[in-house]
Amino acid sequence: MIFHGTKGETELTASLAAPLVDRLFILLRFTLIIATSCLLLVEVHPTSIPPLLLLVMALVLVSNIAFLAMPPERLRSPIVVGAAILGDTAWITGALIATGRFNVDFFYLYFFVLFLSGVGENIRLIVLSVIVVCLAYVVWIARTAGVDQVLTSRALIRIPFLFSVAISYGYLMNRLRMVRHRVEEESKIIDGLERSRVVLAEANASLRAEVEERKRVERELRKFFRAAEQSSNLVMIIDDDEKIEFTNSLIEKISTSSIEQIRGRGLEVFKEIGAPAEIVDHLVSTVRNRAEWQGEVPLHQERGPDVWLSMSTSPIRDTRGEFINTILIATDISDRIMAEKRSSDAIAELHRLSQMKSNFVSTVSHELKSPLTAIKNAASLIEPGGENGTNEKFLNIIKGSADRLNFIISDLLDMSKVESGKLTITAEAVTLQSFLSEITEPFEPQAASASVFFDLIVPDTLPQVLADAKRVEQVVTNLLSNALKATRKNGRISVSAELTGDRVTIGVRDTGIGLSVDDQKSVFDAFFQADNVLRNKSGGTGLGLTICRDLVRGHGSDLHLESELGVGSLFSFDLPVLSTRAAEVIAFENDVRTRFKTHPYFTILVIDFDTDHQGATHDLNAVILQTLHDVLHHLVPRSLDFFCDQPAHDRVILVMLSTAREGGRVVKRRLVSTLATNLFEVGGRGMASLKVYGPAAYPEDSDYGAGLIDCAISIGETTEAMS
Amino acid sequence: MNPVKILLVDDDEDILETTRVALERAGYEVVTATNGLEALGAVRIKRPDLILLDVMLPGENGYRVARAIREDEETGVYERRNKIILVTARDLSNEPDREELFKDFARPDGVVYKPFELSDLLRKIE
Repeated sequence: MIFHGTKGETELTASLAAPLVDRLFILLRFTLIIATSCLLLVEVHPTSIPPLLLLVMALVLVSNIAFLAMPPERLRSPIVVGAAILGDTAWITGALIATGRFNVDFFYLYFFVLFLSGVGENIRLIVLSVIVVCLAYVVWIARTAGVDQVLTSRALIRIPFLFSVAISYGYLMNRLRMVRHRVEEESKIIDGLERSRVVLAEANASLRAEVEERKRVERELRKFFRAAEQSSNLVMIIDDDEKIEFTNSLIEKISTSSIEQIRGRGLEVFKEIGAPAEIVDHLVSTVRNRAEWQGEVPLHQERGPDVWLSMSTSPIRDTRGEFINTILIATDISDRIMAEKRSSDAIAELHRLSQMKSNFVSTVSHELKSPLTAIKNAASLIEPGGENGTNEKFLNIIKGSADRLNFIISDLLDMSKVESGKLTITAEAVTLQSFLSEITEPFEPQAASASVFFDLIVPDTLPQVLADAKRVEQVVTNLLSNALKATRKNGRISVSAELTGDRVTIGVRDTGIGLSVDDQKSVFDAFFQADNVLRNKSGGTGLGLTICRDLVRGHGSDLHLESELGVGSLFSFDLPVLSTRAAEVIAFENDVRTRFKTHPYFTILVIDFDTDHQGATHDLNAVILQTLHDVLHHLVPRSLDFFCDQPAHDRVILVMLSTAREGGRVVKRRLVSTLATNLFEVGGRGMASLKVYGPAAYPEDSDYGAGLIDCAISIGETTEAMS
Repeated sequence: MNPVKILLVDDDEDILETTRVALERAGYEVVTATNGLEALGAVRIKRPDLILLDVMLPGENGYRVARAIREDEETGVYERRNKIILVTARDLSNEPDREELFKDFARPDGVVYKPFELSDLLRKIE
């Protein structure tokens, strides 16, 4: 039932039913008045009716007419109705008393009917009861006055009176009850509506709260998603079906797939990114079992080093402990892994070096002790006055062994010089034709006695080279001795020199046992010795090739090896050709040396960070070396330390090129603070802020090497002028 | 009675020569070898009573030669009883795989360190 509708309907019922109902009420009252009048007229003589009673009856009639004119609402009010009932009861009772018709039995009857009307729930029951009462009254009349007197009895007139009284009051009471009932109904409905309104309001409030909560959750979610999106970690949410529901953009960094391609797929997608299959399978089963997992996962990359992820997954449950989904968080720990690997590599390298060192000590001690043993043995065998031949043999053994000891010790000393960077290269002009034949001369008989062929292949047209003759001799001799050790009878050993561009390549080739690919890698390592059945007693320290390589590097070249097991080996290196310019510089240097005998030593430092110029500075190294005693270039920290430790530099000439970079300034500051000597700088490009000494300008790229020599010469001249 | 026969194995000819002379002067019969293979051959043919074995040999080292001699089928049970003295410049007590090297029959009967006094060597041989 609808609240508003109810009101309208009530009005409607009132407007239609009221007149009829009210008319019925008024009609009943007329009936009551008429019945009372009839009762009075029948039982009492009209003349004996007091005039006051007639007036009251007239007033009641008028009031009933007034009721007709009354608005239905007022007519229906319980006060009016109550007043009407009380008034009617009062004047009827009064009329009965006044006319003397008020006998006890009638009074009882009258009030019994009134009582029935008041108590009766139903108008029909009231009517029925009144009929029974009236019939009982008729029976009572018949008993007291006789049956034949019933119809003629004047008491019979009381029946319609009682009837009309009962009907009127019954109807009125009923109506009153109905009105009260309706009011109660309506108030009940109103209560119900009020209650439902309250319930509705409560529902509204909770709905609003729910909406608020949902908004809050949405905000939180958005916050979380933004955090997840922008996290530096990979964040994934895996739904109930083990599919990736959400991933942030980091997945795009570690895979070629886009977020859209990844979403909705299973964790197997990690296999495509390069994760090991067994780890991914384990991960998938962990997620399926809703368990937690944590581990480090390498992602193999086609190019570059592996990416390492520190990954953890854990199921997410709501407050009731119900599983919602699984979250996977992964952090890129490649840097850490790389650092760990680097440090473990460094440790392995240290370990290797330490192993090598102890091997070296062991090898060297053996190498030293063998000739020592021979010397001791031989010495103890020499007998005074013994056979001449025998004693001489032992003396020869002692001499040979002592030579071997000396040889080994020289090797060790060279090695230690190389190690500490104290090995100096003093370059000069070398004519290879004569130089090579001179140094290979003593080798020829050795080769012959081992039945090995020896060739020296040097073209006559070869130009002079710039080299430290003693060092080159050391290298070639060492290479030859190795070659002889490795070559069997009837093998062939050759030394060759040929011009390639502005450098001369010198090679020592043999047809010996050769070196395996693995051995080729480590052959230049200190103390390496191939497992060589041909190794003889002059096996050496295993330092030879290391020393050779460092000596060759000192010349700005490198020692190259080509070898095949069972076929032979070729060791080669190159030396710079002596240019006209370099020859001029040599002349200049000789001039400086003769003129400044008191201060013959200069040190020129060439610092150039431009890698394109390194070839040229190699040249320069040799040239300046020849010119001004010593040059250190390619200034690496180690040689810088070494340089600064040198006690006396009368003159340090610093040629700094392209030092606009940070490194150059650092080196310069270091030199200035360490050396109380003159520093000359040649300004480089973009070096306007640095004070430039000396007349030279930065050399052009096209003629860099020669330009540097110009710089060196002019600096030398400036220095001379200053001293 | 035959003189005691000694096999001398060393790749250093000077040491070989001087030691040989010293041992011969002491009255032993001496056989020499400069590598493991020669040594094995000499054991088979000459049946020495004692072997002086250098550890640092080209190719197979002294330990492996000692093992090969002791496990040689050809020489049989006899060789399991013969004496081997290792000669070395290294301090054997510091060898990391000493136990591995010396296990089973390869365990030497004595060790002589270089450089040795000939008199000490002779005493050891006695």
